[in-house]
Amino acid sequence: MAKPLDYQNSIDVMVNSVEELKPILDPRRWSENAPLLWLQSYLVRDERALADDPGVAPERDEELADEDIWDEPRPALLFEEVMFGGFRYRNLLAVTFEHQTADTIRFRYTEDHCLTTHTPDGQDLTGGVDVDSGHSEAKAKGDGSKVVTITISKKVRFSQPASFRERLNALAEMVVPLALDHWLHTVIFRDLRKL
Amino acid sequence: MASVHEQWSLAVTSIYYHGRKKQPGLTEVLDQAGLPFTPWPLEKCVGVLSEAREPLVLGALRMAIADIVRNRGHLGDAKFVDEQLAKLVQKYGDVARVDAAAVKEQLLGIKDADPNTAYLKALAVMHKAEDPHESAVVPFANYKATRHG
Repeated sequence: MAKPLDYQNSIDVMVNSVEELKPILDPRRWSENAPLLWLQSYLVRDERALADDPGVAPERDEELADEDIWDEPRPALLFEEVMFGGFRYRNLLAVTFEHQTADTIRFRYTEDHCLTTHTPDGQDLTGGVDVDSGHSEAKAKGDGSKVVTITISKKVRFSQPASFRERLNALAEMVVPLALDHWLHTVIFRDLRKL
Repeated sequence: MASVHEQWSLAVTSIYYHGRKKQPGLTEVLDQAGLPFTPWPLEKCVGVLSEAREPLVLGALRMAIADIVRNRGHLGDAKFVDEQLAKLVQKYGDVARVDAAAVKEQLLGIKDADPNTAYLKALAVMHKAEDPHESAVVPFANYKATRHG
């Protein structure tokens, strides 16, 4: 079986405080911030929100949608629908937000389970991702400057469609760097024209 | 019919493919014949992004332009690649309402062999062009993309 892909990107940015990066790093806003890859991303409280049919998206928890999750961090599940190369993955991640401090925001995620894979030729398969973990962090340099280092990482392995698993993981050699760059663009261009 | 976001996603994914297919360590895994999707030719990617009517294409344009600058040396015929880059920058100029000619000149002047440096410089050119405050300092540095294993 293929080894999971493992990528990490980082960049230093100047900000007034890490606080202003909260909406950028928030996975609830991936679909808004990185629409080239994410169709949907929202928190669900637990697996009771899942429908019996894995093809049906879990119920969105409106309370968790608006909550300041870094203020009162809690374990939660993140539902995401991701598209690339004509595939669509509906995936459930276990996410952990850490208490925001004056100089750090961080969250981690790991695979809970993948619900379905929709293939370019119209098949709907159960599962499809067996490894998916990583983190996002904004950490002030702490040297009196306004410089914050953003680090994002992703380790992933695709398992469906089984007939071309290896080649699909080859495709991820483009998609994972693209996803990480997409996040960094959101950070870098956050204050500029929103169109 | 794919949505515009799906089309832009395929265009940018294909550009990432073209920039990596001849790089050491990735040539074998990115064998086009075996891939589960067919990357669009660079010209088609540029066409799809350049013809977009929705201003939201700005993000996809930045992604495409920065990756082409990063991997110019791996994309094939230099004249053709520069022509494609110029088309994208023209569209970028229209959408972001910046001076496309000046941006193009600066982007084509990036010759760094280190892909991280070239990428960072491309981002800096676009950021500076779009900065309404015309700040003297580009507010980011030290971009690093790492593949482990």
